[in-house]
Amino acid sequence: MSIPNSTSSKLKRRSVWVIGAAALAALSSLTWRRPAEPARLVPLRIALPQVPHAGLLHIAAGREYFKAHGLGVTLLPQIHGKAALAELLAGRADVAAAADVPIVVEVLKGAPLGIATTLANAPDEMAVVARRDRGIHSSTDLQGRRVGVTFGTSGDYFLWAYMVRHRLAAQSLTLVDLPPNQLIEALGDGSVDAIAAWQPVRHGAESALGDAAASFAAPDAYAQTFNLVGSSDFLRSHGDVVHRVVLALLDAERYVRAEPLQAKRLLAARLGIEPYALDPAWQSISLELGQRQAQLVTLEDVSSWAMTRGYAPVQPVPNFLSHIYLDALMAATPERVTVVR
Amino acid sequence: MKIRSKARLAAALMLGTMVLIATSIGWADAQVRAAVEQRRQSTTIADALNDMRMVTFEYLLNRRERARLQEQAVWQRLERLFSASVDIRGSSARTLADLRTQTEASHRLFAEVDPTLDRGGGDEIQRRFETQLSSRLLILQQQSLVDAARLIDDSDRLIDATQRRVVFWTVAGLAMMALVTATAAWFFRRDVMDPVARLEGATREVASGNWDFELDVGTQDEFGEMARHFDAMTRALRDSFQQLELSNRELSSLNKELESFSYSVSHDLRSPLRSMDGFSLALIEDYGDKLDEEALDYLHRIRSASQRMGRLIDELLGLARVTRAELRVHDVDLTSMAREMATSIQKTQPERSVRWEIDDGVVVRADRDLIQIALQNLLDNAWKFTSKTAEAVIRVGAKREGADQVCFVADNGAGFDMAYADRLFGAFQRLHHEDDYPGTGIGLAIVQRVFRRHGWPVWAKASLGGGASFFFRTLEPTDERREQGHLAG
Repeated sequence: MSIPNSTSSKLKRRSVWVIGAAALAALSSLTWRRPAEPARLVPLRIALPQVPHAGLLHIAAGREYFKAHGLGVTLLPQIHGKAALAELLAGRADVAAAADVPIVVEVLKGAPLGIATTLANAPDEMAVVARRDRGIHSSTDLQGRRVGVTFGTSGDYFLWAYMVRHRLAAQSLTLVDLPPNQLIEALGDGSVDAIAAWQPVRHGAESALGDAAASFAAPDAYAQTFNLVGSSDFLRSHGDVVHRVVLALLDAERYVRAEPLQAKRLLAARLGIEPYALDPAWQSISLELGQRQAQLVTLEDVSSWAMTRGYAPVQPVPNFLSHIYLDALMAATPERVTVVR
Repeated sequence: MKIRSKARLAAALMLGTMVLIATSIGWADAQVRAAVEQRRQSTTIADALNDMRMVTFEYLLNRRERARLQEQAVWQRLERLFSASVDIRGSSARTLADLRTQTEASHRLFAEVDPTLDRGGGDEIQRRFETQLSSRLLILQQQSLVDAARLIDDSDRLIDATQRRVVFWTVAGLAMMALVTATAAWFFRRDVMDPVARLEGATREVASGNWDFELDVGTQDEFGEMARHFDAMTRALRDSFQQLELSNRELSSLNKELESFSYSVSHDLRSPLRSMDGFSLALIEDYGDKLDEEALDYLHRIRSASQRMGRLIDELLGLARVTRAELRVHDVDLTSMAREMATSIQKTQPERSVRWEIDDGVVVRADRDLIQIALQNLLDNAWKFTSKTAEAVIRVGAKREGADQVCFVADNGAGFDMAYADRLFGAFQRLHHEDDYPGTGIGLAIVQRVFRRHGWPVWAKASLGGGASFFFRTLEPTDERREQGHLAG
């Protein structure tokens, strides 16, 4: 039986429509399909301090960017980077977020650490906050005073750099080792005359003392970097995981740039503080991934200081190039890597 | 939608697309220029930063005054460059701001470097201060160079992005133009070419005689209207032809009646006339001696009248033949024809002295028999109206007027008053008294009919006592003119 011409042409036309619609649907499914979630998320433990410097990690977790890149991340909050590093070294975390100072101290002690990426730069964030009622009005007035600081942290190094910047003898200070959460209290009750602190502790101390506070910053003395660090073995053997972490952090970075207010609110909520309290840190900290050549100089300066302070045995300044893991950032965004190689 | 509206829409779309492409190219050109300028500025800044780095470390190593002065000069150059870099926007602007801050810090720290070089010894605090200063200068200047390189990269990316955008918009514009062109071509084929083909087919159908063919197009555009007008035209033509056919049948019937009438005239009317003439002659011959002068005069008058009526009948029949005769067009040597006629006419009155001036080589394309009748009438007229002229001249000739040939027959005879020229070619119209110039008044009517059958205009120029000239323009005979001449004749 033959199909009449008109019917045949109608069928043909309909077939063309059906094939076209199917092709369009296939194309749109390819175009609009969200990244497929792997069946099983790769577990990763990240020890990090509850500070704005680790903001990208908090935001990536809050926005589920880690999950989007196939990572089942467990955050292990700590009071400061040094503590987070201790978690890493104790094997309770796979990677940790810490400032450059504790990392250098641990490297000098022989820990096989590698920096996967810088998480934040803070060139003008830290300050010495002093009590005016103790007659401290300038840097020279600090001599002979009791200054609270968390030993082995970037606050400790900043205080030393500050003194050098003003050509003062660091030995003229009486240093009091205090955990970060006791610095404001110690300054307030007068058990110390001044403290060296990062944000938001600095802002908290300034707010607590009000007009009685005298803050001394030193942007030309020390530009702190906050880093994601892991054991060199882990970074080498889990290159794919580190790469995914970097991709998630880059997503977070883009979110911060595109939606700064939302990002700030999210970070404040995760740190447990009011958004306005985050403002000073938010303005002075640059949340940006990178591996800079200049950081090597800082690491080397910090290592000289750490040996002088006795935090590590005296030895030749190590080659920090071998403690910088470039592959992940190079693969994701090579223009951020300015380390000479 | 009308085709005109569609054409306007397509033209507007094409124009819009072209404007879009032109705007895109103009905008991209401005963007590329800005990016190239940004790159140039960034490169200049990077060069200055390199210079600053070089002289800074020369100074740190050797504390040479020359290096310090050079650092001052580079700093001033950088200040000018930063002030000039006002057009940089976006992330590059942030990078530039960072760069400026770092460079200012670097310059500030440089100013703090002790101009005297302490090679060993000295106090520990100063040594640490110098070390810190050197490190900070190194860090700041490294970072500045990185930022300068980033500025250059940003410019390159901006140029690339702009070029890609231009390519995208150009391709999109071209695709749009291709789409518009394809759509316009499709509409043109559907709305213009197909209807033209249908119209062409319809005209072919109608030309082949299918007067019942109708386009029957229902569209509301110009071709729809044209098709409806075409259908209306074919309907009107169909009606006209039906009416014409009816008229032709009636005309044919009338012609038959006229032929019948002519037959009656030529045969039935001529017999009694011949009887009247013949019996009058018999009376004169047989009883002439018994009749008085008056009776004989009456009989002569009867004979003259009957003969005159016979001539009138002949002339009328001649006029009718001229009207109905079928045209057979050939080259006719008018010169030879006129000369033969002149000889023949001259023989009828050899005593008359008339000068014949007949041009050589006058040839026309015409029906020989009809043109002979017309020429004979014209020459007879000229002969007649020069009968009282002392030095009569009759001229036959032709002259060129553009592409046409105008022939004439002229004389210097009695002529006529041009005020009566409109009556000249009417049947039985006479402009002279018959006693002066005898005739039936049919001759010029026959002449006009002959020329009209050929489609030739004929006219006269004359003056009373100054002779008369008759002109006819010999146009190439066409079916249309012949038809018009035939219908009019």
